[in-house]
Amino acid sequence: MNIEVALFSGLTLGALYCLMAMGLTLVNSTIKFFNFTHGAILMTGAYFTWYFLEEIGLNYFASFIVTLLMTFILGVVVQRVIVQPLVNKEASGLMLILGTFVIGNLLENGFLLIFGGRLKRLPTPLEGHFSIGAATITYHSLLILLTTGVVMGGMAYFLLRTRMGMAMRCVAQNEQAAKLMGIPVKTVYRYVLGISSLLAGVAGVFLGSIYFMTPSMGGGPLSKAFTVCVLGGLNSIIGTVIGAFLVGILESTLILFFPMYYVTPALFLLMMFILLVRPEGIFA
Amino acid sequence: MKKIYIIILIPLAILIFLPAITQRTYILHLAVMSFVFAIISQNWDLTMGYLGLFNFGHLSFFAIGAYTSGILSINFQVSPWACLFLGGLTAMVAGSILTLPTIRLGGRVFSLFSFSFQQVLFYLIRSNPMGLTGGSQGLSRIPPLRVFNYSLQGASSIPAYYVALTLFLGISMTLYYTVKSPIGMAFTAIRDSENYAISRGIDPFKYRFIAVVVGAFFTGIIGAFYAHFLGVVGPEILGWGNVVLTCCMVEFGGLGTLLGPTAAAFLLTTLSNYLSGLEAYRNIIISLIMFFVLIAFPSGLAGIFAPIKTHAPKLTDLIKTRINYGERGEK
Repeated sequence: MNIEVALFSGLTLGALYCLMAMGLTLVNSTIKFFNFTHGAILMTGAYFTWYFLEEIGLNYFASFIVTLLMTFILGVVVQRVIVQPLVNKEASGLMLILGTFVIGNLLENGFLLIFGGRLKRLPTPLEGHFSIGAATITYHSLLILLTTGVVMGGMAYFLLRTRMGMAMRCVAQNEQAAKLMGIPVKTVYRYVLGISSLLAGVAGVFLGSIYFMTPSMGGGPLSKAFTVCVLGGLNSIIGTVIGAFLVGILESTLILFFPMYYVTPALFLLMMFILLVRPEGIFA
Repeated sequence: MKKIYIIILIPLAILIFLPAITQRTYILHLAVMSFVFAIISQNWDLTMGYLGLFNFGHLSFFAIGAYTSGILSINFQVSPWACLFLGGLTAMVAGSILTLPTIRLGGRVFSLFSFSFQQVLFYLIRSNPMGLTGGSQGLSRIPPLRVFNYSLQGASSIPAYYVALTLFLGISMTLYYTVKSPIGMAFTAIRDSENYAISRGIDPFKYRFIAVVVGAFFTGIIGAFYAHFLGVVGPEILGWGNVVLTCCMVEFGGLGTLLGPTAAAFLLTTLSNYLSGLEAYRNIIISLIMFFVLIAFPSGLAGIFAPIKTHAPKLTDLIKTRINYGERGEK
């Protein structure tokens, strides 16, 4: 294990956190709460792909597309079932957090019943690797980086150029004004949750092929994504992207110098420190 | 006013005579666990319901109390009764470390800060620093509290039940009178309108600090009691499941009512223990109940009973007038 390997695996991790934290930031800036179903939706993304790949027998690309659709629908369902009713009642952020957590719990235990708690692993679409210097780079991690880049580009186009994306940014800036200008806020919420779940689903597919899949696999990435959100500024998308790669690289390089047990608490300590000295985030 | 006394006094009498009614250790164990969780959720309610300050890491005070007193009594042979107090004190110190730097930065920063504090604590406990916390196995063989050579460990010991009951009643009464006192009035004033409270000379930072620290102290004490009562403590008391179950107790009971979270703690502790054999189904059932309560009664158990409270007097009046009318009609 040397520094080049650590840097590259940090990039891969950063790509995953980027996908996770982007969804959290989207929800947090428009609907103003932390979505705790996010971890469970990441898990469903991995399991859906596994199911379509292994049980139904679709090819990798097709099952990936179907997974995207399923997670999008799941996000919309979450919005319909819990978020919108609570928002309509003008519930506090605490109740939204609890409500989404309850749904996440339901999903995790439901998947535990359906698929069992046995460790599973998604196959990788590209086998093989090449080496630069001392670092061995698998094609699969290159594919992850490439896909993340494409997804980020798509998100940028969506947010900057399409009507729905502009509506989202408008709601994030000022919800009252958005309502007055005739933007359908409920529809915007639906799309926000759908797209953020879709991003979590993509992250889940990648995570399931790097590590193992269990029904409770979403918890760790979710809490890391919180760190990323705080680091990059709670409402800034660009800050989130930079913060995600920073946290990923930091995590994989810290493992070189400290015992593995202390890396996660160190990240949280960093988050506490940043909350104290710069509560609005480094890049905000 | 009198009705509320009856509502409290009947369960109280049942709790006092419970060991005389039944000797089943399972039921006594459930009762003691309910006391423990009732105290945690009451103290959580003090900051969350009365002050509107969402402290995500309230259970970390519980864990700090439990682990401090466990480590002190195992490794340093401190008397368990002193440990009870020391556990509370350490939790109090942790509470002030958590509160002092963040309290001026707003509620959102405080929630995130307490959240990450709890995560740091969880991973530290699991990483077993210097062999003190026992890693993911947890601490075991924590010496019991003793009264005249009676061991207070395990639910088969009836003195333990009464010590738990005394703690429960003592802390509940203290919290009740705190909430009714000028300090408690200041809490609700800050929650309802911070600017107005400031203009009347109430310092919100001082009262937020008081609430968090007092809550931490009592939660630490009950954490220490929990450790000595069970004899084992594991890091899973800081796990997601436990945090959310306890948070649900507060929410389920109704924020800012004290009595509601107590009732909800009894209900949910009993429920989750009865269903514990069902594993995944247990979580699904509890989640479904929580989901239903959140959607249908956002203000919790207290919200369920509120309409009865407002409509019941009218109903009795109606019945009374009907009876009077009927009597007159006969004449």
